[in-house]
Amino acid sequence: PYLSFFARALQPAEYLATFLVSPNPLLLFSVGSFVQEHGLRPDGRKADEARPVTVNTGSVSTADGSALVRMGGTLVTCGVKAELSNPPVESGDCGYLVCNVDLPPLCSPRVTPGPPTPRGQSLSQHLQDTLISCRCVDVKDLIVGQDNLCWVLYLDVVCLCDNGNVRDAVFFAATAALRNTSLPTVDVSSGSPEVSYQQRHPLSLPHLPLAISYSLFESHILLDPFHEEEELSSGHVSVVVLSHLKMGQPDCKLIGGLTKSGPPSLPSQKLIELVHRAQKRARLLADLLLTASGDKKT
Amino acid sequence: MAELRPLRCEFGVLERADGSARVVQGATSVLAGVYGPAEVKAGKERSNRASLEIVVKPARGQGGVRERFLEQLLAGCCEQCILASLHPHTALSVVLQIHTDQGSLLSTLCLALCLALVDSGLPLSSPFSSLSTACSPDGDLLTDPSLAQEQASQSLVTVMTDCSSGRVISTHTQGVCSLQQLESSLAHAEKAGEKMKQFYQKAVQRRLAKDAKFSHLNIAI
Repeated sequence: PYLSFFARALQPAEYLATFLVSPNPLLLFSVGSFVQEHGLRPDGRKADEARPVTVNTGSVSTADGSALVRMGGTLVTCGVKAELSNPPVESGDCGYLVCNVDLPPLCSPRVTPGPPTPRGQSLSQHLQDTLISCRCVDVKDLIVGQDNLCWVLYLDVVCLCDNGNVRDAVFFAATAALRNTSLPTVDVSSGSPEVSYQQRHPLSLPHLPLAISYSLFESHILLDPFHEEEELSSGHVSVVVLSHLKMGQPDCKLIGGLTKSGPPSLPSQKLIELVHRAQKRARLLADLLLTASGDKKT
Repeated sequence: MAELRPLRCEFGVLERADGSARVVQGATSVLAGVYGPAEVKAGKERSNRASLEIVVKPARGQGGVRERFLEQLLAGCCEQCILASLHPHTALSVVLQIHTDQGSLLSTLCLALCLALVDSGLPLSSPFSSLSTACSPDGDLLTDPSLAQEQASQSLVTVMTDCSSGRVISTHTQGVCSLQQLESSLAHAEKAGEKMKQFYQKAVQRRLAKDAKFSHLNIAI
């Protein structure tokens, strides 16, 4: 009775739980395990299976770098604009980044027009914190000449369709856009700066952050949740893996963030296992990114 | 052997709050007030449990995205540990005021939150504790760092654990660390959780004995 169309609308939690629990009564006792051998999610995926990812870079011609990322039904775009400015007083001789993640009413029926919600603000803060604290962008490289001039990078990430797991898509879009970004050359030798928009050079990116998120629904851990699963889940775990190129191949070992919040509590071995799996998935995403910007030199 | 900074706590600081605690860990000082179960606004009312609201106020200014992020992390702890289903159709509200931030702020906030909840008499499934660990590039770990140590390190890992089961309630990391450093931080946090459980037991005994102020407890793990 829980698998009918009306059950999905009236009792969504029981609907999801019925899918995830294995039909084999012997396996019911292993309900806490990460990979459900027989249990499937409503869209046919296993607990540790993610949706297909596509990325398209450089589509916004007015931006210095851009990317459009689709993870299943979630669609997120990011544009990077570089402007000249004075370096911040506190940090001195380096440029800076300003990240903003926008979840407009366009993306979901649950979002109403108005000021940014705590969810949107939290995503902006997470992205900004990660890019700065993990030194993903070499801010010292953004300095121009000797005369108190630097580049400011404005990263605007807009979610066009929220079908769950916006965080992963936001990070991937920001990473792809940064990789696609090229800065014009500035000539400061003649007193006033002369910007030449034709001659461009790419950004110096020591690490690329890739987020992999799981949602915690009762005793199940679901990779890349879609919006229904996310709403029913009580907690989530996000792992940010940093990828850098080592002899032409992406190396995804370092962790740039591990955020777990919400019930249920997990044993620490389970968290470490999730981080291992995230590192593997990050490798796939990093390879995809390399393929997408195949003609771009790093 | 890892050590925590000297910990000082005071219960019942706010007379009008149902529960309150001031925690000073090293030079980081935070005040928490818990109000509830109280009347809830119609829009926020939940029929099967209490509705929870957490506000973090910075030392100066209004508070922005950073405070919203801290609130989300602390709300996770509350969801896990407060038996909210015992108080349906009510509101529980927690306000955390940061006085000084001299390192390991999230940990101190979490401690103050737990002590204020204990002081308020709200039903908790278990107490929770938190430990911050600073990781340096050469693999060294510093537990409960001061602000200077935090800024000198490559990353800061904060882990909130359930004191009775040792399981992880929440984690938050900032900066770059390796998997081994993460594993060590989680292990340290679990050990700290056991010590904090003894601390909470002592704290509650003193509270019940009407000895509301006690100070300078050095905790080594």
